[in-house]
Amino acid sequence: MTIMPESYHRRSFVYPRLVAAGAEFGDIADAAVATAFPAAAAPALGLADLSPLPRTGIKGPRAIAWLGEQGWPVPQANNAAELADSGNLVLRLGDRELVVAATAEPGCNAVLELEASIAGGGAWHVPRRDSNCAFLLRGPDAVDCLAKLCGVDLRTEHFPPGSIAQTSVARINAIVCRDFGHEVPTFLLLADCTSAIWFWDTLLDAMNEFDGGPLGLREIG
Amino acid sequence: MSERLPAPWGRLLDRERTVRFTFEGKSVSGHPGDTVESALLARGNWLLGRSFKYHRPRGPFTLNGDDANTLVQLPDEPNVPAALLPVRDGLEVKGQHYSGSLERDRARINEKFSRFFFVGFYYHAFFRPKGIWNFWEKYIRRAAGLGRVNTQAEHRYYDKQYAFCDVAVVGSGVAGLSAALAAAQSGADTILIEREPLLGGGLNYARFDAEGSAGQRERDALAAQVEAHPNIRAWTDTQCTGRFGDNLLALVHANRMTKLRAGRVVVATGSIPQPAVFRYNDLPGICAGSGVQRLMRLHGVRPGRRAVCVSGNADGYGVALDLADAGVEVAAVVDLREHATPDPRVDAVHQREIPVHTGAAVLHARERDQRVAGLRVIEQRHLGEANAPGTDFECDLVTIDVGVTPAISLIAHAGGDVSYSETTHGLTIRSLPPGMHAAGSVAGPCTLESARDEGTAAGRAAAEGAEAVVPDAVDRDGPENSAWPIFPHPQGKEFVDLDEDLTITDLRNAVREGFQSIELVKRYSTVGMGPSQGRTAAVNAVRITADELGQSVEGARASTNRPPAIPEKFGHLAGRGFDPVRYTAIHQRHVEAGAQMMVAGAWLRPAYYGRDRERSMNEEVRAVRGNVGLIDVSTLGGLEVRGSDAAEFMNRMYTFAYKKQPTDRSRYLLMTDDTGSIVDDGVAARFAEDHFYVTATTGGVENVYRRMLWWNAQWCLDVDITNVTAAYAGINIAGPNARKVMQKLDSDINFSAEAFPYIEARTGQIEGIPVRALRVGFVGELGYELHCPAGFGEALWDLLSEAGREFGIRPFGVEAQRTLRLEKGHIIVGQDTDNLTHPEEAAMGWAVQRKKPFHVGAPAIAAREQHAPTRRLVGFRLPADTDPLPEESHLVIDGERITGRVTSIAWSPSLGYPIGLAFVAPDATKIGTPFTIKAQGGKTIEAEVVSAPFYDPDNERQNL
Repeated sequence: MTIMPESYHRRSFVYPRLVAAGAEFGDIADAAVATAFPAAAAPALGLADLSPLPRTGIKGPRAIAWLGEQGWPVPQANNAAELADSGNLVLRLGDRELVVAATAEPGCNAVLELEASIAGGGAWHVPRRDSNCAFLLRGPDAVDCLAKLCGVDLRTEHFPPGSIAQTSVARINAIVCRDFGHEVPTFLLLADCTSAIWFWDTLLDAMNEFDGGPLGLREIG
Repeated sequence: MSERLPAPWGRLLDRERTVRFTFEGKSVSGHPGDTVESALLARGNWLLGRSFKYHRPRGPFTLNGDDANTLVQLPDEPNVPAALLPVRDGLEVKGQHYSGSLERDRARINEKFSRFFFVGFYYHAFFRPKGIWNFWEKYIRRAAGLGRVNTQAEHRYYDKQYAFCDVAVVGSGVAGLSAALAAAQSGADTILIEREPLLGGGLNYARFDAEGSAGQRERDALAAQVEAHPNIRAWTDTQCTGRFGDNLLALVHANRMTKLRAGRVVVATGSIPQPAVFRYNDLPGICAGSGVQRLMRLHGVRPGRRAVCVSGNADGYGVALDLADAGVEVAAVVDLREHATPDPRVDAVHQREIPVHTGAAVLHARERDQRVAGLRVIEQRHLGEANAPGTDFECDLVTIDVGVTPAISLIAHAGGDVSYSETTHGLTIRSLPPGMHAAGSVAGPCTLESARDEGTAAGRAAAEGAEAVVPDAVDRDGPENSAWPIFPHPQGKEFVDLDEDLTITDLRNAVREGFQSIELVKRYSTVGMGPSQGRTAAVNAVRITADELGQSVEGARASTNRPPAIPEKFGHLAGRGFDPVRYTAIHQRHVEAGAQMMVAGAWLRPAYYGRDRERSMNEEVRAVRGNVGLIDVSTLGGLEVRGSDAAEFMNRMYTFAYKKQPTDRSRYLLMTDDTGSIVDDGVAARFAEDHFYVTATTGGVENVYRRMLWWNAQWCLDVDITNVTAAYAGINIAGPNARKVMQKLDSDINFSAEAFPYIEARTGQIEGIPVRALRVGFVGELGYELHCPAGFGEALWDLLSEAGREFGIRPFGVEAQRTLRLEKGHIIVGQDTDNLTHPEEAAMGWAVQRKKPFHVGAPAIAAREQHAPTRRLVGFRLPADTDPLPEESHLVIDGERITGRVTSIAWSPSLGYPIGLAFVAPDATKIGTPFTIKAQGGKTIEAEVVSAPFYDPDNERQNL
């Protein structure tokens, strides 16, 4: 049976764009996630929608300590990310705020379990899965592409894997995190979900120059 | 007539292909690699423009876009430099600024009246007698400007890009190439910026030696190394328009502006050829020698048949040799110097038996068919003599090599000190700003070898972060500048500024009128203020001004040089305009339902559904009042306030009382600032002892959030404040059938009246979707405001729509909601209040808890209430047949006095007459009191104070 976003209660903020682009969807973490775009070969510069994947924030004076107590790796400095054994990203945004994000299928359950265990009392839950859209931009031209939208120097020597910039991308506030473990530059982009459609369209427009296009979760490589 | 030279002339041309475009309606062919200018010159067409004042025929001078003689008009773009416009098939090009045709410009008649167009003439004319300006204005507007803007032109795609490097080198002549290599070899990440389509600058066309091969050899060797070096990014066809703070360079390439942040900058931008000033020196065919060399070498165009080379240094001899090699007859080299300094090129000219006249002066040029046809030359010792003996040369080309001016714009932008030197007879750099180096002829005339060495040193120093070496004027060893290539003629028309048609007399007269500095002369005469910004005028203008003032030119400064260094398009500055839009999670459903969307800040919200606004609004209001409606309220602000001090925090931030607010209850929120003025309102649902879920207005939430953070930074309460506006979608289902719809859905929330009374709040799930449900009364009907995580928003809307289908549930928009809330007398903060409204004025005194020790604004409210009120918000009605209705902000008057204004007004479908809210005088608030509204066009309308809520005054319906 073909999986379609409207069959699920939880829907990606950009699912109309994915459907229009011919996405194939998979049932992942109780949502329809675009896993591939079969009509064409995966582009060298690709943009994947990770919005429906589990993602949670923890905020407050106990946030850092609490996450460490749960056995997750906590970055030592602000604006830095760590890769957990589960394959998920831990982003430290400040002395009192973290985001834990799944960027692939295998890590989803761990994030959901973590989110369910956030008890409050100084380590408060922040609904990042719903406040933010999450896109993954990957490809050899990813740095040059983002240079059209963002004034931060994202070149590898200045922005290695695990770097975070809380900055402006195409005039909206965004968190840019360089992901780990890819042969080509790969960035996780988190922005306000209400601008998701606009942001998706703007990113694809900037990617046009490099023959970029949408990418499915299982095509990231 | 083809003036093409065979290969290897014309290095940029692809002769295998032909491109066709039109100029002034006539078909012209060229090759890829041509510009419009070179293609026209290749067919012998040197008339490309008309001068500003006298409409004299003009052709290119610098032949590389540094002058503004050849600005052309495209269908959707004016003022395009023909020298920078690549040819392409189908291009439609026209000249500009003529009356009739470019070839036969009727406005050249102005030249006959030139004595009326003296410098600053417009300061003495067009305003007497009083009122005469109205007559002159239309003619002046027609005559003003150059090209025409096509207001129907389509927007083009422009964008911007950021870039970073350790060292940026601007200019890729010998100095720039050497600097880039040295920087890269020292380990610096280097970007080399070149405005031409190929690297090399003057190496591509200038003749540095008698054989004419040194430049090419040097170029090939250096360019190959640069292109191969992994540390160098070479960007050709890229202009640097300005240098801003901390070495931020603005670069323009095609439709993109790149903002390049460089650690250090090496300026190797070379120099700009300068004209000689003599009668009729502006004729087409009189141009810079270096420009002619470039035209031949890069575009393969023979610039004429018979040439005279006017020279003040050895470069002019190199031009003569190039022309001879290209088959142009060189009638003479006219050397302004008594004795040429030794140079192999001078020797070569003599060896070829090209006549050389030394100690010469140019008296005037002669025109035929709107092009130069001859030149009269005399000996300098005869200058000023009537009937001085001289030589008349027949020629269709005059090349000028009397000197250059360094292209110092970027140095000036950065605050470098540049002024004139008597040593070099030109600008020289006195100091360089930190982080900037200079090399090559931008630092003053220098030989090829010196430029190479300077570039290498500058590149290395830039890479190492060493201090820049400021070149000394006395050390410059290159071709000299003429100190005074200026030959006044008793009959004038010796043009100093080609853009403005200013002559020697104009500048001298400006000084005589009392403008005693170059800056004032510039402002009065407009010298240097035309499109070429004095690139080929400033030097001679400074010389003439200094001479008239009896001052030395040493230390004289040209006027302040600011970005942009070249004309910039608004498109480049605008870039890829980003106008972020915010959509709710339910947006697509509104569009599918035929909503007319409205802009609310950055959001798009449905105003109403359907095509007929009045009808749709009224139907939607009736649907809510009589049945059930659905509105997307996702844009409302949402904040989590959590922590052991959450209730204390709420008590301090808002006017009401929250410490004892029970869990699962909502309470109205009113926020005042510390002047006691209302800034926002909303609802707080308490979900736990230490957890309030706070709503705020769509437009106010960012402000509320900031205020909360700011105040708690001082109070340091144990409370966390998180803005979750985007995280929650919100849907308000309202109307007498709302409960029936809710009860159709599978939920662990009991929606019955007993279990879930008015003003309470619940958390639970609906069909598996987690929700926060609030019973609120903004529209005054039985209703539930459902907040769910945004990812579920559309699904929840779908579920409610499906469940409501049997009742005929109807979506309603913002317009209907505004009417519904007005019928209930509910205020909208920012519309029914202003920056000074305190609670009592807005009849909101009930929302202020007087017993608690403090809230933000409490002291101010107390102080303000000591004073007699000046206004009060009341409800009013108008007769049912009032037409048209007054509008918001229309005044409430009492005779000649303004006593208030209308804040909200609408036709009430529920009541059948217009209602509104207005500020009125405090003594006019009694029910039944009439008052006067001054509406559009001064019409007065009588209103009557009525009690609010207007509809269901006992609030029974929302309590169902």
